[in-house]
Amino acid sequence: MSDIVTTERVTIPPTGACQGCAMVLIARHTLDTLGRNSVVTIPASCGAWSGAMLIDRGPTQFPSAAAAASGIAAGLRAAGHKNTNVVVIAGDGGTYDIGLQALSGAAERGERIIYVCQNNQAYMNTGIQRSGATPRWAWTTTTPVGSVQKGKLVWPKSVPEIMEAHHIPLVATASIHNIPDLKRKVKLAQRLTTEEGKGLSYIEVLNTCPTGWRYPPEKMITLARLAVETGFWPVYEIVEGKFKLNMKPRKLKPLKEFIKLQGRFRHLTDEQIAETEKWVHARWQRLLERDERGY
Amino acid sequence: MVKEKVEFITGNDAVAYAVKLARVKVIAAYPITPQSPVTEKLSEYVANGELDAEFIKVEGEHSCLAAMRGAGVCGVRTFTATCGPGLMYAHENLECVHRDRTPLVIAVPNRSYSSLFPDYTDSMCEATTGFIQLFVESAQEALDTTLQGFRIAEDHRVLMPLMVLYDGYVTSHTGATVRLPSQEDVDKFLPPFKPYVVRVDPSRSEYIQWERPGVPLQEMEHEMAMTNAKEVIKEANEEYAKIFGRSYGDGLVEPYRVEDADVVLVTMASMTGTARQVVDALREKGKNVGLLRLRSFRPFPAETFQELQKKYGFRAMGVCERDVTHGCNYG
Repeated sequence: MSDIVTTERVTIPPTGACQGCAMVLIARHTLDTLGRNSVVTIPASCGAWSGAMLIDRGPTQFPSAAAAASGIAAGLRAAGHKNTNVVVIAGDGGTYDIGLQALSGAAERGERIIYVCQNNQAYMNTGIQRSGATPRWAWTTTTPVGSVQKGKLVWPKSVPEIMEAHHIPLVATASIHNIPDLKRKVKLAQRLTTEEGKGLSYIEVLNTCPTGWRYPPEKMITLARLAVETGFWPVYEIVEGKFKLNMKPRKLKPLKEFIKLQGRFRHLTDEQIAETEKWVHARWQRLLERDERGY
Repeated sequence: MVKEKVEFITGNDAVAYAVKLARVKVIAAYPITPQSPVTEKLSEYVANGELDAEFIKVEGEHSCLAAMRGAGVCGVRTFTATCGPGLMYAHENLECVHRDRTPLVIAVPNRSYSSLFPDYTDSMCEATTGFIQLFVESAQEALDTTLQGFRIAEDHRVLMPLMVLYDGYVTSHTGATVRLPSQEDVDKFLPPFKPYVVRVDPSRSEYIQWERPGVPLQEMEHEMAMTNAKEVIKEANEEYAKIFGRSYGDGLVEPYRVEDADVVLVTMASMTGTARQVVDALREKGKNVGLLRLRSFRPFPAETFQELQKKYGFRAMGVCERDVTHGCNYG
């Protein structure tokens, strides 16, 4: 339990988030792990509802989180603060879509930023519009279930893979049903990015969202766990080029178990579920092979 | 007695030299014609160890201004340069800088956004972003105004960002004799930046929740700062003249041969040189004409124009502009 409970807290409840929102856990455990010698910047996202914090927040506009953090890191160094964690907590909209250019630029420049993407797979803070991270077929307010088009028509992209192509010290995914794993990765990022100055660390956490995914709040952890156990959300890390699959169920559970709990997938046909499962399994296979190889 | 050396350099190089003399701590910049030589020169200064600054080679102007905001709230002296489409691309973050009350200085060699040539469409589009805008006539004035700019923007009565605007190519790329002040004299005129508050400071033992007042009150504060800026611009102009012997009118408007003038021409930046020749030629023919060069476009010195009119009694002003707003009588 000592891994989970942090004695010195940086985040102060209450928050303004919805009941059953995983973002609160992601922000809390990231920032509490990093401690008081940190500065965070949060672009427009559900993260804006993280509540009070005992650290300073830097300003940023929606597309600019990684650029603003680059400036904060430089400004802090120029002001004589050498070992401060500079953290971004952004959503998938601010990471996959409008903020991708700034993130790519910062990663290429080797900025000492710990970038955490809390991916809830749509623009939830703006009212559940589709993003580049929204799964195929999922309902959102801009991919409605109409008589001609039903849900999102295309597959999501994978920003962790894009970030890997930037040769940064750490790319990792995490899930909120395994907080010690998340905290370990945050500590790893702190060492590689802040202490050793090796460049940007990117951690992406699946942010289960009762409002946008349409599930009862008490199912938050269940869904996060099922996402990993069905292969829908693989949890892995790439530390300085070394690949490791962190959670390897012996046999993946049927994807239907994850999908059937959520209103956003209610209209899916059996064929669509099967096609999604095929896509999920193909990716899982690739990751297993990488895990075997170790890179 | 000031120690200065005279060199034949461009407006862009003069600005870069001023930035070095100002001991700027964080620079972010992205290349764009005709600004690029500023970015290049500053890169050389940092690479050679002549300027001890963090230089963020950003991937675009939007990110550039975001980075400048981030560095600004840490309480250090910041500088960037951009123009034309770059200035417009940065608009979203540009608009936010004055709300942070961080005294960023931006050099802008004016450029049209629809062509490479100089006009003021870029800077006029950004006239509502809360930046002080000083239009300068020459490479020398660009250097002098960059140094004055930090002092004006960082003054605790102001704390608003500032643009030094000079004409693309005409001033940015044309060689001119420029007097370069010594570091020693500049340090006297421009001491290290002392922020009024530091918003991001991890060494602070107590956490302060920054509460800005509501928008109407904020805007009133910004308006007061801009009003104060008029006096501070005048003071900086005077103080600079005391040390370096150069001044530009009262800092806001520079009159030329306005005594007994019946009509005056109002100009900005580099066109003023030509306009002066025209005034001289017309004066030789016995025509009572004069010239007012507007230096401070924001804050706009309306009362200075009124005072000058009362003092010299000219009956008409002809305004010569280098930008266009369609559907609005060209101005």
